[in-house]
Amino acid sequence: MDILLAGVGGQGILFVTSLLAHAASRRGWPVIASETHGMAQRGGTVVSHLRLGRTHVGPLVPLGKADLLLGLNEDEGLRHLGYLKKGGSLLVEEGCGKLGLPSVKAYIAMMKLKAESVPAARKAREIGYPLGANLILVGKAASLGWLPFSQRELEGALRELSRPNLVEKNITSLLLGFSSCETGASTGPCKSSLQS
Amino acid sequence: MGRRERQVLLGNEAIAVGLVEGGCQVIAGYPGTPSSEILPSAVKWGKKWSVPMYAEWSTNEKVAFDQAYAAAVVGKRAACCMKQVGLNVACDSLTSATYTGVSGALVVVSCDDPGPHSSQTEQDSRRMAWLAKVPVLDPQSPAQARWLAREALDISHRFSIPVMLRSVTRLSHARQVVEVNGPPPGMILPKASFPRDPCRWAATPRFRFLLHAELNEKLRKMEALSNRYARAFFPSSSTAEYPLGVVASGVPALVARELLEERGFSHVPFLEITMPFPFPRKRGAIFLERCKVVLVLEEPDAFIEVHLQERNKVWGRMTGHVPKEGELLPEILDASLEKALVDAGIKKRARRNRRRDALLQRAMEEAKLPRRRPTLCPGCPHRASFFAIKRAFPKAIYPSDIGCYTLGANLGVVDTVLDMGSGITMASGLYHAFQLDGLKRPIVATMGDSTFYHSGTAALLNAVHTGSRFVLVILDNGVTAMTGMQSTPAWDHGPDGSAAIPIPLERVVRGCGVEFLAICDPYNLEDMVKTLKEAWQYASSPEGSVAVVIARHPCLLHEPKAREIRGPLPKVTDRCKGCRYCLEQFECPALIWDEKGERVTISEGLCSACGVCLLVCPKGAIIRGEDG
Repeated sequence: MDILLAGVGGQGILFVTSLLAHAASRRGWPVIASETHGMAQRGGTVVSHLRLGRTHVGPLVPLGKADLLLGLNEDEGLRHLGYLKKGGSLLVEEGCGKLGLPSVKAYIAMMKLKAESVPAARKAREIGYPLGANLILVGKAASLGWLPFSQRELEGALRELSRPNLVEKNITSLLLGFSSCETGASTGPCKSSLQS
Repeated sequence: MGRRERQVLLGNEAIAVGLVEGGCQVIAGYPGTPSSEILPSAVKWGKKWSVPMYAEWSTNEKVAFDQAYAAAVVGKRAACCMKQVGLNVACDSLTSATYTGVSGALVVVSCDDPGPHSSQTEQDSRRMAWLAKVPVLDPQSPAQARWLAREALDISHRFSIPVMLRSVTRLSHARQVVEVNGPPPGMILPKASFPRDPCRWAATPRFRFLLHAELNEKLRKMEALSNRYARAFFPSSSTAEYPLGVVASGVPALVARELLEERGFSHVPFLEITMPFPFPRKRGAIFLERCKVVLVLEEPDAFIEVHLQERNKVWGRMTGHVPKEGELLPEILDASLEKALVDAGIKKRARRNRRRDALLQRAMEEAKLPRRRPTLCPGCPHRASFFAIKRAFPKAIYPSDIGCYTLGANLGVVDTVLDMGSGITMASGLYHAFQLDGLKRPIVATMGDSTFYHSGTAALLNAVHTGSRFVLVILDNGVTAMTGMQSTPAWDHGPDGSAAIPIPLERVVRGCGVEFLAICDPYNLEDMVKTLKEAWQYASSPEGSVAVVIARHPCLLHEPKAREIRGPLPKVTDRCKGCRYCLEQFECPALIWDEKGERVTISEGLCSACGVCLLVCPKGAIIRGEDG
């Protein structure tokens, strides 16, 4: 399975990469992934490529081949839309609802993509742990059946990877993604961001 | 000693595992993306497996090389790690060390950066290895890199020669499930002993000639090894000539095989080269003999391509089948394969799905995706320093250097970036060039603390000695920040936590003959502007010289606690008239343009409460939260 994670520096993309890689490795699957480090991390676009259960493949997902695109930031998710294969799945942070833009909708329809958005950042703020937005998104993707892992597997991997003082907060965020997170309706985009 | 286990490791961590498993006891380096994680990871594994080790972040790559080399001279297994441009700094030592050889083992890990993602060049370390006559290994994946790191130590010891392990960004920063065994039980670590041999370790030119012959003989013998590493694949044992073969090494080899399989062309003959130098001439010749043409896929530059003998049968960067610059992303490799398959007549040209491409482009345009460029973090003291410099000298020339602060270019306060140390040498060179025509222009150079230790001292000595006049601002955030918070010589401990002797910047600056030295906190903007003006006054006065200002404030990523003591978050009052001055001249990510209100707001999530924007706003519209 080929996954692309896109966002901006500081959203915890590298952590999610490690989490999914770790979950796959606990299952005995081969894993290869590629990360963004260094100057590009300072406020720029951060992308991780993750290839689970595949041997003899390179560290990057080729364009048009990804099964799943997780956009921790709406704009960055859309920027990497071309990575998804026909019939692939797209889950993005709700942002201002750009999934509802006519040409984005048309592309999604043409490529037969399954597309959802989640107000992960808002949910994370509501529970007082803004850093957990990335895990809410992971939980949501898994609950939609778009990740090859069960809730229990992800929980186990997360426990092993989290810093002791953050374990409970991280688990809460993940579970929030599984349970209470309504999927954002693809309504019209908000004006302010479109003018920026 | 360790037990068998499988872990998801970064390529750099896998290299570290291989080194420690291979008995490496001395490791030195200078941080540089994408190489920085190797050294701390080696320290970690060394501790875990109780291998007695010495590790240091050296002042620069040449120093790192020499540290490791000395250990290898007395029989230890040693490694030094650096990025490709760091290898330039170590090149003087590297080219000489191959002549003398080593008695233990020495592995030079050099990480290339095709793209480039975080470098000033896309140079190919394999070409440097060729120049220095260093054998080089070119792994494809983290798992293979771990294995080859250990092999490199063994080869180095067996042939008494430094060996290069060449990595690239997509290998160093790839993650893969890697087997981690630990050193073999009962591994014997050699005791240091100095085999006194001045004809080797202190060879004069006459002996150098003999050593050169010895080196060439080693390389000749090693060709058998590189031939053995090279793996050729043919779909059948038929002796018929194949219309196309692919020769590849490193990450592109892995990707090319994946793409060929995906396209249904896995029957195309394939030659994988793991040791590009000394070049496996025999394997190369046999492969070429059986193919009408071959496509060479490698990064970041042509190396195998120039080593294959029958030039008219080779396609690659020199024939336009592979782009001459940039990273070989899967889609670019795919295009190269497509062109080669079509040109070789084994495939018809594929038609692009233009409708899909056009719709995707339209979607991107409609989504109005923001252009993102890397920028300094919220609360970064460098931003404050640059703002002060701009305010004090709006019309100066600003030579700068390599580090986070290169991003000062966004603020218009970085005019030149050549290489490590060039902030000072450029300033001095510019001064003398203008001086020839009797022109006096303020020149304000910037350089980070770690960069200053790395290669600033020779430059500053020279600038003072030659009577240059400029202001040097050392942006001292107390850490090698860009590469992930490594130590500097001002620290009291090394990468393994052992005690180190701190050498303060100001002592070094004074030692270079600098008379004017001031230290200020860039968060105190007004004070820094005043200090800068005084510095230039001194530098431009008849008895003046180079003036140095140390702008000292810790990196907020490194010392996040500092945030809590800075007080409440600033807020923007109604006095904001939406002039955008702070956005354009200060560019703090926490300052957000509110389209509806046509004014600036502060992002609570991003703001570090540094409070510098209070001093930046020309209308005084930003205040501390509690004041409102």
